[in-house]
Amino acid sequence: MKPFNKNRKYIENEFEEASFDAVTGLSAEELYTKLSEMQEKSGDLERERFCAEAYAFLLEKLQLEINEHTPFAVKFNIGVDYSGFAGIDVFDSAIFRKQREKVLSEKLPEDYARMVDGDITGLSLIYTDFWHTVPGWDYIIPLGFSGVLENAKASRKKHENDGDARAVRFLDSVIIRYEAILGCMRRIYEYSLSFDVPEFSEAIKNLTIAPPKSLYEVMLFSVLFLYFEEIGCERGRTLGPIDSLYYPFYKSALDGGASLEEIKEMFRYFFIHFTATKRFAQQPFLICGSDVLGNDRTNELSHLILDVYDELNILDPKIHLRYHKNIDPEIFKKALSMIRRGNSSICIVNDEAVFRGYEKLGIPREDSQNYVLLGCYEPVIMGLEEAEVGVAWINSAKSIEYLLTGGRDILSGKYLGLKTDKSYATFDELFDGYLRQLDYTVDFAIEFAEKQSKYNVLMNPSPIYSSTFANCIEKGRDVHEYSLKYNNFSLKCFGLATVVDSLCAIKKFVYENGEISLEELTGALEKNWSGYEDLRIKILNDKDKYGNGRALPDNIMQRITEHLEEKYVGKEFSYGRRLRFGLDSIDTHLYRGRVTAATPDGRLAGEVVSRNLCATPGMDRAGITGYMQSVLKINSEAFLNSAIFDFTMHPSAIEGEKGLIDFVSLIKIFFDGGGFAVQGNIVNSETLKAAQNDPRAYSTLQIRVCGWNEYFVRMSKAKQDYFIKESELK
Amino acid sequence: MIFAIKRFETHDGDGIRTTVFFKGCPLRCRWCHNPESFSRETEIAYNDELCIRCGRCTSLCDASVIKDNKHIFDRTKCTFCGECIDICPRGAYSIYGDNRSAEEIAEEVLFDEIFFKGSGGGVTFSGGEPLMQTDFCVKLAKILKERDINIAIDTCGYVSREAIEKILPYADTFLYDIKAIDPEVHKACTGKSNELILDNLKFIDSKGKNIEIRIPYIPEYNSGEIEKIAEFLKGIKNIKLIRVLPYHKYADSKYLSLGTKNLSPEKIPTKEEIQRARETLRRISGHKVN
Repeated sequence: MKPFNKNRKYIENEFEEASFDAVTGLSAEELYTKLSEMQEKSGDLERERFCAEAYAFLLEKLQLEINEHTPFAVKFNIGVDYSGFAGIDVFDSAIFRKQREKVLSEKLPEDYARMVDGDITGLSLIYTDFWHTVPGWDYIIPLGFSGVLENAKASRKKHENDGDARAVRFLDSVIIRYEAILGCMRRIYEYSLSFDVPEFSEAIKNLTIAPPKSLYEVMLFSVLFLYFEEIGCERGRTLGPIDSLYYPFYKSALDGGASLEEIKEMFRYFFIHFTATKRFAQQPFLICGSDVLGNDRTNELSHLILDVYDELNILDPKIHLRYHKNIDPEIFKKALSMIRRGNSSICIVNDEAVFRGYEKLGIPREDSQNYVLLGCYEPVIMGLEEAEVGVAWINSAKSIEYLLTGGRDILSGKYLGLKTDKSYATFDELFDGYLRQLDYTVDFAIEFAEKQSKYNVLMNPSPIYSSTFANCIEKGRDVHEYSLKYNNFSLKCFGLATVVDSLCAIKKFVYENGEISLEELTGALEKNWSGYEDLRIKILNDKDKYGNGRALPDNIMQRITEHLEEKYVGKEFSYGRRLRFGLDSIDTHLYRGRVTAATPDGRLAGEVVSRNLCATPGMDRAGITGYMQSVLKINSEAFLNSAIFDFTMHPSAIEGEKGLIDFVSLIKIFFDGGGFAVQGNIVNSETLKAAQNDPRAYSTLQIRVCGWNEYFVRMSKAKQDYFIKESELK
Repeated sequence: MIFAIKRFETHDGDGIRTTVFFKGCPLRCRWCHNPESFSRETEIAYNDELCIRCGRCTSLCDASVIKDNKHIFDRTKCTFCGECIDICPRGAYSIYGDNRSAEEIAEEVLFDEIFFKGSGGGVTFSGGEPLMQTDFCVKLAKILKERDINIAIDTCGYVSREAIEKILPYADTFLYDIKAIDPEVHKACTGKSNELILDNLKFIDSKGKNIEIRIPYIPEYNSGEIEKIAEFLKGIKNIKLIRVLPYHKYADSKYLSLGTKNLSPEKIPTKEEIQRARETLRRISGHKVN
């Protein structure tokens, strides 16, 4: 194979430019039609078998393409549009979505209608989350595809003897799917022989019959496993801790005479494969971290991985890095140096905060030490926990609206909040009223998540994901039947800075100086502040805003988060599931903001609501330390489903060697003070404006959007303007 | 009186610092980028570039009038009530002048104590010239020292020996400006001669205090002084670092908004000039240069 730098151009856009060989199978349109017909006729068929057979059909018929320029040569035609964020595939659109809607609308008609209302009005976003899985990589890598299949067959035999029909049904679905995988592997092998990819063919042949034995094979296995998992609509959202998972393979490569440069070359191809696949929200992997005794897990492979990643200047895959007080200072500094140079596709999480968060759920460090981050920045214990991290996002700013209108959604006119009296004699009464409204929305999300959990397997049986856990194979149960050691579920609440600033404004301008009555304020919001512009400006200019370390807003933020912690965090629900809470928005603050009416903090209808734990854009006027002080007053460890701290800094603030040292100190102080996780952008508004005007010259400029990065020049104008505004105000 | 407190300052001494800017300065450096520091009196700034002619401020007092889409601001009529700041949608007004007590200022700067302690940083007194308000400086420094906060004094050196003696027990580092060695050049650049400044530096050095020298580099004004400065600094033992600060023209809008005469030179230095100056200083003085 030619050197990577000669091949890179043939790989980076290979998914967008793929032309699949019609001889190898059916087109995506044909597959969609066939699968849709199968779904139509599925009726009362036993769901696991039906889905397994549909999956097997898909693997048997999908078209292939081989790219001779990469050792990860194969691509499948599963109908995904790769031109932007990768779209949905045929199994998802023809089977899963239709089935989900059918199940929920038939089984939970009223709740489903209310859930849809919440979605349309921007109140909440409630999912059935098969999109965030952490495969038990440490279980499947030593087994390989064939080993998993053997284990499933052995377990089936045992359960058949025991008369456990449920287990047999589940294991049959595993077996059907794995036989389909091996069939597909054989098809890939045969097809690959027509191309000049001998190492690839050999590795495919090996992986068909045995577990991965070399660094290349473990990488190829990981690539293929993710493919096979997501084809069945279960999305593996991390490659796992690859510096430790791949370490034995790395060592044996070195022992076998491979040079470091050859190993680096392999990682270049491996990483660029994920750059090319453009998976939704990108494909993460994890490095570093501590064990239960506090020992650092950073090794020489962690450094090599970071070096290769840095050299490639890519944003996908993305990096999760576990910080702890004994972390190798060089790798921590290196990661921050990369962020400082604009490679912001790195999220750093604090082990101590995560361990404490798990302790709040009753999970000891002996188990939580093996957590990884998945998706954006949510911890999950690999092999031991299913957490449904993306079940619901709640727009807490809507509860301000309902507080003032007695439950009515201003823009839609629907009563989606708690119907209440709208008068509050004191600010404290009003504050309690706010919490009641927030609880009302949270309670519904929990109730819905609880009810739909009974139908998970009916909606989307997950035998591939389940097969990555010894527990599931041995018990003969789907992971969504709560067969792991820890079965949890998770909610996220966002827009809290908008809420806090609004409550501050109400306290000061209604209850303290009496500049406006509550009734009149509600009227002003209904009119999107029209006729009240002077007051709106005064409120915007008022100093009491969250994100500046000021007593009033920070106190209100503490009261809200303490309430959520006390009422919900760690609470036990059906199947022994405990509730994990998060305070992040991903990018829903943009889209939900568009359908959220004006708020008392001076925000106009349709403007964004606040993102993650960020201040309202432009309101963190006391600099990054002030903003950190506000965040550190929140008991972040209670919000295990992530309490991410986003920063935007001007490059001049941390320039030079001293600047890097200060940047390292800043983040360490934040973590040592209890901070949960950080991600951010070091960029100035001039650069962003220049990029907006001359996209070609800034084609590689990355922006950390939320739990992922995007190229700035490919964002919508509105999104670009949001980030320009955010950086202008730093 | 101070005019600003800035947090997460990484250019004014070791570690992460908060800088307190004192109002009033004995020099009038032509290139100064803090014109709000010149006067010891409270001042109001109005930035016409930000004004959208909404007229809200004109209803509050007579200082502002809008006529023919022009905003006429008569600062002599301003009583510093600050209402225009609250009502302006674009933040066009600012008041420079904060008369809070040393205790109140200490409370605010100590807010970032964890960042000072965790980074080897602290608090920097800057300006203007902080030592023009020696007693206030000492009072503030005493409070901070009770909490073991590292203190840096950013001074132009044109202050009495007594002022330096008073602050010495509390100062961990002096950030000391040297603009020229030739007294005439110094006078032309700053309005004052430099004997006192050079003497004070020797005195501070004799007391064993850490010193960071700062040399603003202004083409055609003090650019010919670099070798002489380097020679002079060779004799100062306790210099930990010499920093060359390239002149920039970012302060023009501040002069305009304060109604202060702008004497700023036009020419900004090239990277090569700055590099050469650093090399010269390093070679001759023997100190670390950045």
